[in-house]
Amino acid sequence: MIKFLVSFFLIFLSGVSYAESVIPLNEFGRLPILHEGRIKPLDSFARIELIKFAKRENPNGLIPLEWLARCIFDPATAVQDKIFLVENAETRHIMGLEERKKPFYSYTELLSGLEKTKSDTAHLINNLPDKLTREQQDLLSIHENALQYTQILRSFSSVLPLDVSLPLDWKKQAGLTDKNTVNFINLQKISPALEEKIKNIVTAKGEDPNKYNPTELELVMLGWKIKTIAEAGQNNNLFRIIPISGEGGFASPWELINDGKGGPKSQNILNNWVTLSHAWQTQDAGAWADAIDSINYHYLSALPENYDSGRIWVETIYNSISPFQISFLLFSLSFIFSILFFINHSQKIYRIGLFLLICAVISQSLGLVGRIYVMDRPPVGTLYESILFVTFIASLLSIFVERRIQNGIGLISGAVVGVILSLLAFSLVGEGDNMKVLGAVLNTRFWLTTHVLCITIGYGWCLLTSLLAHIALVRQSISRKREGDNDDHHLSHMITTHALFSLLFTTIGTILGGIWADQSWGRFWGWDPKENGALLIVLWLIWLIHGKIAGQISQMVWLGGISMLSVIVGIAWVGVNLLGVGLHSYGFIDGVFWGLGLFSALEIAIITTMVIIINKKKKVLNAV
Amino acid sequence: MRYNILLLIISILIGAGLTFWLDAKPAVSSSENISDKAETASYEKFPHFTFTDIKGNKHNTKDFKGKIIVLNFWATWCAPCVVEFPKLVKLAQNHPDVIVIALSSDTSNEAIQKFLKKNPAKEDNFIIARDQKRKITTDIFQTYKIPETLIISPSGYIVKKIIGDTEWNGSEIKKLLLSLEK
Repeated sequence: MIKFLVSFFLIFLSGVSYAESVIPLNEFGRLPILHEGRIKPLDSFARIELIKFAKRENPNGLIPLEWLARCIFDPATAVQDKIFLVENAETRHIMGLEERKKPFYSYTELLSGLEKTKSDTAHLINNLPDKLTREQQDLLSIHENALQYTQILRSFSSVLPLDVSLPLDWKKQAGLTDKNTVNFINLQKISPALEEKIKNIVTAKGEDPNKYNPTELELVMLGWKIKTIAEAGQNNNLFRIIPISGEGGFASPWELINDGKGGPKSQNILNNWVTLSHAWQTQDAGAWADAIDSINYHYLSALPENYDSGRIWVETIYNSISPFQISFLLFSLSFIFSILFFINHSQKIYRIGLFLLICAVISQSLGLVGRIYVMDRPPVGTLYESILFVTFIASLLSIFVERRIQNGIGLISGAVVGVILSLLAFSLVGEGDNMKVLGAVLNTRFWLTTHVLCITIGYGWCLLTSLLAHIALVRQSISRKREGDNDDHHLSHMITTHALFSLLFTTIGTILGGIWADQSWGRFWGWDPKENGALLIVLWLIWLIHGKIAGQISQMVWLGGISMLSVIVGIAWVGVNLLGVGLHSYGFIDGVFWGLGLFSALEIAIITTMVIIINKKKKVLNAV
Repeated sequence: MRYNILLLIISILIGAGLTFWLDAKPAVSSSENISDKAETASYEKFPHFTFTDIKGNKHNTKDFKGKIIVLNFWATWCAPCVVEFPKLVKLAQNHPDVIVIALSSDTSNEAIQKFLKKNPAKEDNFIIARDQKRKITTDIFQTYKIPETLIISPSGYIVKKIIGDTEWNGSEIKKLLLSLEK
């Protein structure tokens, strides 16, 4: 197997090795590709694939587009790029990988480990993921990633120059001059004749190569190389960059050959991609730019009718700006300024903090608008997306809170919720930031906009209300007064109002979910874990609000209960997905159990401690 | 408070507006749909070419303008092509107005002649030619695996691409040819 893989890559001319590419990649990044059911720019494809292998966009400072260009146009060099992250020490040991500070490995470094563990993986693949240990899951994932990586490396193996010497008469037969490089597609012209010739050689002299003369040996070797490349190109359908026919499809270069998806138009486009690959191999920036222009020109008539170049443009801008990283930075700065404001009460600092918070919300909203435009659907289809949206809702509402009470509480609430939720979103970036096409049940704009949007607005509102209740508890626990001041009354009133809005949105969202379930699954309510989670929030809020209105619960229980809303939302939003049962299978996740458990335990400890401190203090004050 | 309620109502109205705006658009098509369509249908303009048939007569596909052309890529060493060949001959017999061009990837005319002795095809509308160096097959039509057949409308568009052998005298093909004749 190793011999096969090594020989496969050695067939291709290694070209030159580059310290740094001089080729401008922006236009290349905007070329469209059909990937995971959606037409996206190559820039996004490169980032998504690199995140899959390295869990980050720039491992060891690699530029995603440069990495992609090297992979497809110069695979012999690309296999040296250290892009595979093997975090688990046990997995590294099993694969015989050397220990290093940053555990990134190249494909060539992985090869012997992949071969060694191949049989183990074949057994593991038939097991359910929850039956596998962490190490086994890692091993399986490395094998899957390596397989996907080889697909990218072989994307253009049909048109890349081959390191073969073709006898002159055969070159002539293939219509090639001395200057032309030989590639798999050129060889297809002579393949029937070549096969016939090889068949004759084998019939006459048998299968022992020692009996062949040099010319015969050369031809037999050529036949073997062609076969090797053809076998490696089977099922290579990841790199769908060639628009085909007038009805909205794309095909990979190998699909043109293997599946008969080619045609007169795709021939011109493929030729331009071949020119592009030559330009990369010779690092000719001028030829590169010309080839991109020519590809774009041919795409004009070949791209599907529903193709929107605006979306591609917005997506590349979105990728380069990373609006959610900007908003995280602004939320963090706003948090620092809000802390400084509480220390020295400077109006200047307050205004800067509020300005930063507003900028963070604007950046967050621009990111969401960008996603809506690119995906043509509301941005709440995955857990990652819903976190981004909840961050926006909660921080936007905190600005309204701040506008009303103007004492920094809204400011710090918005900053805290922004920082925490952004961190949570970044932790899920590998799972979520690929703007993927949703499963059939979710792919309805009407219900995504009504039910999911409504319920996520409810989550955001609940989290803000809970945070305000936390702040009220902190204020009371550190206050030396028996009765609260004007700010406390304002805050208390604000919490009640926000609790009511939280109830409104979560209730409407839950009911709309039932109606959607009735339409999709034929029943309004099925005690599905996700449905129960949503109901839990509604019941929790109803209990607290009714208790407060009826005077059945104390202010302390009210604040403690509303603070605990964060845990309830955590369970309903993320926790029920851990169960892995029910019809909401598109939301299943794993790996957050301990995080959620720790968060819940911390929240319970903090809230209980604060309630005990306040009660003790009240007793002391009452005794005085 | 009134101000907040007003804001809430505006938000709900924006949400509702967005919902109806998004809902009015056609649904996003999945990759499977895109791929399936691309696999079976093609409405590209047919690129005309010249060729010499095995009898030595020169042709240009432009000469068949206004007629349906069935362009079949085949070879005598390709088993499915050999199975398909008599069906195409029958098609030419049943549809005298349809021009069937059987473009072979064989390396010599002798192989084709030998094959034709066993599988005669004498219809005037059935033209057999050898594609020297597979220039037409691979360079123009990007056909690498055979058999593959294109059906070209009288107006010069590739309306169907059939990969592999098919039932050439079945109802589906008859229906298609009939619709193109109209």
